Amino acid sequence: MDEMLLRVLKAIEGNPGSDADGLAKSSSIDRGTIISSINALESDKYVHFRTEAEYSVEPSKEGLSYKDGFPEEELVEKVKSHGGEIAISSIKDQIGLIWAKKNGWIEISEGKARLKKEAHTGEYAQRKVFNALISGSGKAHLTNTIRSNPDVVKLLESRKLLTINRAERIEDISLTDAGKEAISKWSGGSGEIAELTRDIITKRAWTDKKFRKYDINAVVDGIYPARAHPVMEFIDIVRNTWMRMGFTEVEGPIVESAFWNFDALFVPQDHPTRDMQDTFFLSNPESIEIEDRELMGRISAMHRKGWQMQWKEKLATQAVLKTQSTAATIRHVRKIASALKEGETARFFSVGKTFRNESIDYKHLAEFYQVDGMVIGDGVNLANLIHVISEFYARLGFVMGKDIHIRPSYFPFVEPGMEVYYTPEDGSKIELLGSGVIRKEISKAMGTNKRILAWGGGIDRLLLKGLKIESITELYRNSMEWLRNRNEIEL
Amino acid sequence: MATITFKTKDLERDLGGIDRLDERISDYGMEIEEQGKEEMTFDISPNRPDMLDYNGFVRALGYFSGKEPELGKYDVGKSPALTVTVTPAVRRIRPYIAAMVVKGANLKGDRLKYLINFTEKFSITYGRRRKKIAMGLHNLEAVKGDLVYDAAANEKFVPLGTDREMTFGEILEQHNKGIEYADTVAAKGKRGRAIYPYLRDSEKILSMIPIINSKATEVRDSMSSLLIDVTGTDERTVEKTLDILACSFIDSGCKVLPCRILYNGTAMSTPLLKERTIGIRAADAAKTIGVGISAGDIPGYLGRMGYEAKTEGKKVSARVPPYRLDVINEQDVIEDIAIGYGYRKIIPRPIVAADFSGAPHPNAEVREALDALMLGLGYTEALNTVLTNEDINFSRMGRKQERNATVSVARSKTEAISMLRTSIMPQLLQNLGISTSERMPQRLFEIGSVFRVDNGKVVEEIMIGFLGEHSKANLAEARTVLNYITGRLGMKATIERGSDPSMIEGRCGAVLIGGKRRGIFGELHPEALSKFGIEEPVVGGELIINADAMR
Repeated sequence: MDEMLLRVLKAIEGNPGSDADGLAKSSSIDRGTIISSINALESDKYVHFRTEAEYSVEPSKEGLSYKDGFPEEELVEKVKSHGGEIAISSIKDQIGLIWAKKNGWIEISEGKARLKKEAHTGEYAQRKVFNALISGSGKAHLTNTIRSNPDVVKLLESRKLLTINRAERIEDISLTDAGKEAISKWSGGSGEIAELTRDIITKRAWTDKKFRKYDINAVVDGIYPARAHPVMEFIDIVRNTWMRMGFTEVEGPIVESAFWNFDALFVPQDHPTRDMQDTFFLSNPESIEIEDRELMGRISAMHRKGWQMQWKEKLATQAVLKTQSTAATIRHVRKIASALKEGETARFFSVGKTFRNESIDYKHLAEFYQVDGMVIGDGVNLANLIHVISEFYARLGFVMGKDIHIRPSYFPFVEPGMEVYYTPEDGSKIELLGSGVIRKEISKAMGTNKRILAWGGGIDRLLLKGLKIESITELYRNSMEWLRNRNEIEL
Repeated sequence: MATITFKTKDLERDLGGIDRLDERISDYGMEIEEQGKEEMTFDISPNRPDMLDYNGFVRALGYFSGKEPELGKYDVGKSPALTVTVTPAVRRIRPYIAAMVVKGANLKGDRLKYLINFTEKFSITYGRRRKKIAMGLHNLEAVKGDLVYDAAANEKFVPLGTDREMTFGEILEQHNKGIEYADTVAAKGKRGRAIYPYLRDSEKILSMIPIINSKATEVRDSMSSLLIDVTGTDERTVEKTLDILACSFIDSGCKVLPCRILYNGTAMSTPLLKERTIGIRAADAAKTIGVGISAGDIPGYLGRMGYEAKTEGKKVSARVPPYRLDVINEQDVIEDIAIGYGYRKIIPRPIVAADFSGAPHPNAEVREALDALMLGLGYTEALNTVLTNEDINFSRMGRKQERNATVSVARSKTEAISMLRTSIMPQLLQNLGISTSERMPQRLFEIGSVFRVDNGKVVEEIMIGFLGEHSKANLAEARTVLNYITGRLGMKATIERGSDPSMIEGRCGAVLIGGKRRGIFGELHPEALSKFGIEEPVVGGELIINADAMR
C-alpha cells in the first residue's frame, strides 16, 4: 500500500462526507492526487462516494459566429427572398446548404434549391440549445439542458460548434469499514513499516520488521524549483562569452545627458531621433550638467566642423533615458583613452537598459537590453571587427556567412559602418548589431589617436527565438506560471 | 530609414534585369523592404538621400555593376535662365534659396510620381519635416518674368488642391497641407507679427513656403519645362539638395539652366555643382579596412561607388560626385572603397594583442552572487521594467510621492509610463497579483536599478527586492532572508524598528549598513495587498546593494 493512499484515507477519516476540494484544503494534498487516490481506494472498497456529473462548455469560433443565425437559417431566408427557389451556383455557403437539406427544409434538383412546404418555422432547435449552453446561467441549468437535449447536443458537438467537457465530481466521501480497518493496519498495526521515523532508525526497530512496498507508479505532486529569469540567464550567457574572449565589463548610467547619448557620438543636434517622438526626455531633472568642459569644447568643434551647424550646449544638457548603450562604452573610452600606451589595446563591453519612446505592443517595448562592445588599438580594422563578431556568434553556435551575415550600414558615429544580421531557417531576418570603426573625430576628441572598433545591438529578438515565444511583452510580465514553466533557452 | 517604391518593370528596364538584385542592394548597404511583381520598395539608408530619387537609384546601381562614371557632365554653365531676388524680410526667417530651370524633361509614365515622392520623402527625413529643407516644382511656361523670394503676413492665391483663393491664414487653418505643416513656418516679423515665406514672379504668387504651391504653376506629366526651387534654413543643405536634383535631371538627359540668386547686393548662381576632390593615402584605406589593397586598385573600387579617382603614387585623389551630401572627409571615402571592394570579400582577421583578460563589473559580480543565493533559497527571479507609474510605485503602496525626488519622464507615448521606479517591491507585488491561481508558496525576487533625484542630480542605485506569498508567511521569514544575504555578502547590518505605509505597523524592520538606512523588511499590509489583487499573506523586503553602499 502506498503512503499517499494512507494519507488520503486519514484525511477522509478526519473529514467524513467532504468532497475532493474539501479534502485537498484540509490535507494540503493536491486535488489531482486525491481524486486518483480515491478512485484506487474505491476499487478496493475502502471508501464510498457519490459522483455527480459536471459539465463545462467551450464554444468554438465558428459556433460563436452562428449565435445570431445558423448558416442554414440564413440560407432559407435567402431562398425565401428569391421566391422560394435559387440556383445552387449562387450559394456560396456550402455548410448552410448541407444542413438545410439534412433538416429537410429544402430539396435540390436540376441545380436548384427549392424551399419545401414544411420548411423551418419558428425557433431553430440547434441555435436555441447552442445559445442556452453558452449562456453561462449556472451549473444546474447547464446540466439540465445537456440531459434534456441529448440529440441536439450531439449534433452541435459533431459540427464542432462547441466542446462539452464532462467531468465527474466526487462528493460525500467516507470510509467503509474495510477502510477504517486499513488505516489501523497500515499505520503499523500489521508489523510492516510504513513511514520511516527517527525512532525506527535510532532504536533499530526495523531489524525485525518488513518495509511495506509502495506503488512506484503512484501519482506525485508537481515540483516548482526556483528559476532564473530568462533575460538575466541570456545576459549572463552573453557576458560570459565576451569575458572569455578577453573583454572587460563596464557600466554606465541609465539616465544620461544628451551630450553622452548623442553629441559625443556625432549625432547632429537636429537629428530626428533627438525629437520627443523617439527619445524619452525627462521633466525632472530636465538637464544634466556637462562636467568635462575640455571634452565639451572638442565635441562642439567637431559638430561645427563636421555638420557645419551651430552647436548648442543647452541641447546637450537635456536629460534623456539612454537610447543606446554606446553611451556607456564611449564614456569608458574617455576614461581610459589617454592612459593607453603605444601598442596597447583595450577591449570592453557593456550590457545595459536602453529606451525608446514607443507605443507598446507585442513587438515593441519602451525598454530593452542592449549589448555594446569596443576594441581600442593601434592597427585594428574592419577585418578585425568582422573577426571579433564572427568569433562571438560562433561561440553561441552561429556560423558567419551561413546564419550570420554582414553588409554596409550607416550610423553617424562610425565610418565604415556595418550591420550584422541573422537569417534563421524560417526565412526571416533579424538585425543583431550595428557596428563599425568609430569616426576619428570622435576618437581624437576622447583623447586617442588609436582606432576604435564598436558594435552594439538588442538581445531580445534572439532571446524570443531561443524561448520560442512571439510576444516581447511576455518577457517582462513575470507571471509565476510563465516563470515556472517557460522553455529553456535554445539558440 | 526612409523607404521608396519603384515600378518593377522600370527597374528591369533600367538596371538591365533584376537578377540577384537583393544581393546587390544588400552589398550596397540597403535593403529590399518588399518585392512585388508590380512594385518594389527599398529601405534607403539616411546618408544616401540621393538614392530616394529614381535616377539616383538607377545611377548608383549602374556604377556598382560596372558602368563608368563621368562626372564632367554635371556642368550647367553660368548664363542664368531666371533671377531670384531674396528680400531682407525672408532672410530673417528662412534665409536660403536655390533654384534652377529644367528643359526637355520627360515626366511620363511614373516619372512625375517618382519626382514628387522624392521631394516628399526627402523633405520629411533630411528636410526635418520641411523645416530645414523644402522643394517646389513649377511649370516653367506659367512663370512670368523674374522671381522674388519674400515674406509677408497675409497674401493670397489659389493653392493646389482647391479652386478658391485663400489667404496665408486660411491656408494654415483650412488647407490639409497648411494644417500638417503649420508648425514649421511660425516666424515673427517686425513688430511681432507672424510672417510667412513665399515665392512670386512678376505677376503672382507661386507658392507659400514650405506649405503649398499655387495651382497656376501646377506640374503635369505632359510638361517638359520646369522651375525648381529649394528653400531652407541651412545654406549648404539647400545647395546640395538642388545639386541632387540637377544631377538627376542631367542624368536623365535633360538640359539644366542655372538661376541667379540675389542676396542684398551679392549674386550667386545655382545649382553650384561644385567640384570636390578628396585625397586618400592608399595605406590608410588598406589599414582601416584590413585588406591588402594598393593605390592602383582603389580607383576601380571607387568607380563602383560613382567617384572618378586617379592614382598618384601612393595616394589616390577622388572626385566626389556633386549629388553626395554625406561625404565629410576621407573616412567616408574609405567606407565607399570598402563597399566597392565588397564587405563579404573581407577576410576576418584576429586581433593580435598581448593583453588579454576579461573581468566582470563589480556591480555585476554582486548581482551574480545574489542571484545564486536567492535561487538557492527558492526565490524565482523576476525582471520588471524600470519605467513605471505613480499608481504602482506610490499609490497602491500607500507611499507618498516626493515630486522633486522622482525621476519623471517628460512625454510618453504609453500612458502606463511616467517615471523611473524608486523601489522594487511594487512591481513584484504586481507580478504576484497576476499569479493568484498558481500553486503556493510563491517566492519572487528581482535585482535592478532604482532612481531618485537628490539636489537636482539623479542617483541610480542597485536594489534587491524579494517577496514570499503563502498562508504561513510571516515577519521572521523576511528577516531570515535578509540575515542570510547580508551575512553571505559580508555586509555588516544592524536592524532596528522601521515603518513603511505598505507594511503593517509594528511588523516592519529597517536595515542599516554603516549606520545608513539601506533597506526595509516586513509583513505587507492587507490594504496594499488588496490593491494588487493578492489574497494571501505576503512578506518581503528590499535592500540597496551597489558595490559602494555595502560597507
